[in-house]
Amino acid sequence: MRSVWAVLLSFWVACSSPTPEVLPLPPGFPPPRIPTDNLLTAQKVELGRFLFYDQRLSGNGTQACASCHKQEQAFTDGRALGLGSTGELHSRSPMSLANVVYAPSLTWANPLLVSLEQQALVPLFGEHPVELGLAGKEDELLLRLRAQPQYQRLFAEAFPEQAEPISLHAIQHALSSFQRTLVSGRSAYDRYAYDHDQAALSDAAKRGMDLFFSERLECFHCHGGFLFADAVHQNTTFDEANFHNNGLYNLDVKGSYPSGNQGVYELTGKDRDRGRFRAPSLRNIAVTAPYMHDGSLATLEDVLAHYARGGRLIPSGPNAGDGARNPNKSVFVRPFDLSQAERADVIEFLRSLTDFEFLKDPRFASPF
Amino acid sequence: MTTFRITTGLALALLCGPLSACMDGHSHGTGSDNDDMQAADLGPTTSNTILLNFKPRVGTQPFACNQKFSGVGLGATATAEFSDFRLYVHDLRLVDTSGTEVPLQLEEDQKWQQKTVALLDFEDKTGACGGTASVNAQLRGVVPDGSKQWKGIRFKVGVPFAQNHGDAATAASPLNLTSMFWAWQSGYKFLRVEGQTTTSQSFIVHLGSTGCVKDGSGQVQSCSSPNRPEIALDGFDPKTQSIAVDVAALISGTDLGKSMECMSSPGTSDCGPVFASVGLPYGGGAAGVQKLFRVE
Repeated sequence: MRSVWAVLLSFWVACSSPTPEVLPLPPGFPPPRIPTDNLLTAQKVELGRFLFYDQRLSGNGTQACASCHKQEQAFTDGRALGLGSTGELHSRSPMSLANVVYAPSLTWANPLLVSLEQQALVPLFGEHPVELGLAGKEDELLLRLRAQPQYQRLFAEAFPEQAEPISLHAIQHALSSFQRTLVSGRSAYDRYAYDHDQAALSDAAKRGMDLFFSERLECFHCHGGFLFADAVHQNTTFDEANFHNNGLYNLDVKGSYPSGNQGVYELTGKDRDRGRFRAPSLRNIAVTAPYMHDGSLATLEDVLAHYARGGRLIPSGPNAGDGARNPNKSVFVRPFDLSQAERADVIEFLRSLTDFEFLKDPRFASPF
Repeated sequence: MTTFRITTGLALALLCGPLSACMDGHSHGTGSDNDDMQAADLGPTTSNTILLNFKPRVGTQPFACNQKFSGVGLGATATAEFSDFRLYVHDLRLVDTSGTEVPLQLEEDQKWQQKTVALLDFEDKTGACGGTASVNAQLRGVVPDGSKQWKGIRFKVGVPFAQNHGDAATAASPLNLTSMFWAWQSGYKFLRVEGQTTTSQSFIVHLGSTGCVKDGSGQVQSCSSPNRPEIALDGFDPKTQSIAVDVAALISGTDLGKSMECMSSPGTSDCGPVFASVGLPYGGGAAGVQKLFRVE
C-alpha cells in the first residue's frame, strides 16, 4: 500500500499520547495528533457526547450535531444534501465523522479548517447555509446549558480549572474531544489485514481488493493509507492536504462546477481549484450513500461507473457537460474497462470496509 | 504584521491556563452578554479625547430597522427593509491642518472598542434585525495633542490582520459576536448588511478577507484579497461634524430586482457593484471611489 505524503512541515499540533482508555486504537492505526491545548480526557469526551446529541445546540432547539451525523450511518445521514435546523438545504452532503481525528483538513474542501475546534464554529454559527442556527445566540445557548444541573456538573468535571466552566470555548473543546474518539478500524478488511484472518474476506472481496490496489483502477492514489484517504498522525512528518477534481462536472472551458459549490475555488478564487474536493475515507463507505460532495451519485455502482468512464457526462440541463474533459481533473481519474463480475468484486471489497462494531458502539451513542 | 498567530494564542492559553489573568479573556470571549453588559467606565475625557460620531443613513434618511425605505438599489427603484448593518473599523488617523496623519488611539471599553479595533453597530434587534439590542455609533479615542485643528480622517474598514485569524471562541469583545464570525473563511465579517425588498428579493453583503492561505503550521499567512477598504474623508472636524455611513450608497449599483449575495468570494457578479461602493477593486478591475462614508 502506498501512501503519498508531500511537502508541508507541520509542527503546530505538538504530539501527545492520549491514554489508551480514552482512545483505544485498533491494530494498524497510528497514534493520532491531539492538540496540546485540548488534551483528551474522559470527562471532556463524555461532555462532548452529551453536547453532540443535544438539541439545545441549535437556535430553535430542533437539531443536534447528531441530526446530520448518525452513528448507524457512520455519522452521515443518508441525505444527498444536509438539511439545517431552519429547513435550509446545505449545498453539500454531511460527511462521515469516522476517524476524523486523522483528517488533515475538515469539511469537503476547506484548506483553512485544520482543527476540529475551529470547525465546530461552522455548523454552530454558520449562516450560509444555516446549520444549527446559533449565530448571534451565543448568550442564549450558554444560558440554556447553565440552567441544566447535569451540565453544571459535566462542564465542571471537564474543565475544573475554569471559574466559569460553561463557555463557548469549552463547548468547542468538548465537541472536538468526543469526535476525536470516533475511531473506526474493525471491519472485515481489518480482521483480514491486521488480524491475519484469511476467512474474514470472501474471495470476491479479495479479488476486488486486488483491483482496488491496481494501477488499472488507480483508486488507491487518492484513497490510500490506513484510512483509504489522506491522514495525519503523530508520525507524519509531511502533511499533505490534498484536494482533487474527479470529473463530476464540466460546465465551461474553465472546468466549472455548479456555481457556489466549486470546492477549494470558493476559498481561493483560482481557476485550477474549480471542482477540487477532499477524497473522503472509504471506511464504512457502504453505509454512507449517497456519494460525492453533493450526493449526486446514489450508489456504489454509480460511483464505479463514474470512475470507469473517467468522469461523468451530463448530456443536458443546467449542469450539462462532460466531466471526463474537465481541465482540472486528477490524472488518476481515467477510463478503465471492468467486467460486470469485476465490478461486483470491487463493490464487495468496498462493503468489507464497514465496521459494524463502530456503528453500534455504545461509547458513541446518544446519552439521552 | 503577523504577531498574533493561532499558535501563539494556543501556547499562551496553555502557559497561562491556571492563571487568573487568562480567565478574564475567556469570560469575555464566551459570555458575551452584549445586550446587558455596560461598557466599562472609560474615565473622564481629557483635552486629548476625541469623540467620533457616526450617523447611519439610508440616503439622506436616518437608518432604522423595522422601517421600509424606498428608492434603493440600482436605478433607485426598490423599496427595502434592512435586517443588519454592522461593521468593524480600525487604524483610525486624524489629519491635522499640515496634512499629517495622527493616529487616534481607541480606548478599551470591554464592549465596543479594543485598542486596535472597534465595532459600529447600527441595528437594534427590532423588526427584521436579529443582532443585538445595543447600538454603537460613537467611537472614543485619544490623540497626543487634542488642541490641534483637524481637517480630515482616515481609517480602514475591517478587523486588522493580526486579530482576524485568531481563535474567535476566546476573543474579547467586540470580536466575540458569533454573528460576525466567518469561520469557514477563517476570519470575521468586516461589514454585514442584509435586507429584503418588498418584492421578497433578499440582499446579503458580507465583506471580509478571502483567498487566505495557511502555512504548514496551520496559521493564516496571507490573504490574496484582504478587502479592508481604506477610507479617506477630507474636510472633517470631529468637534463639529459626523461621519455618515450610507447603506443606500453601498447598494446603489446593485440590481435589487433579484436576490443578491456577496460573500466577497471572487467570481460572484453580485460583488462587483458593492466592492465599487466601498472603493475596492473587484475581478481585475480598478478600485472605484468609495461612497459608503461621507462627512455630514
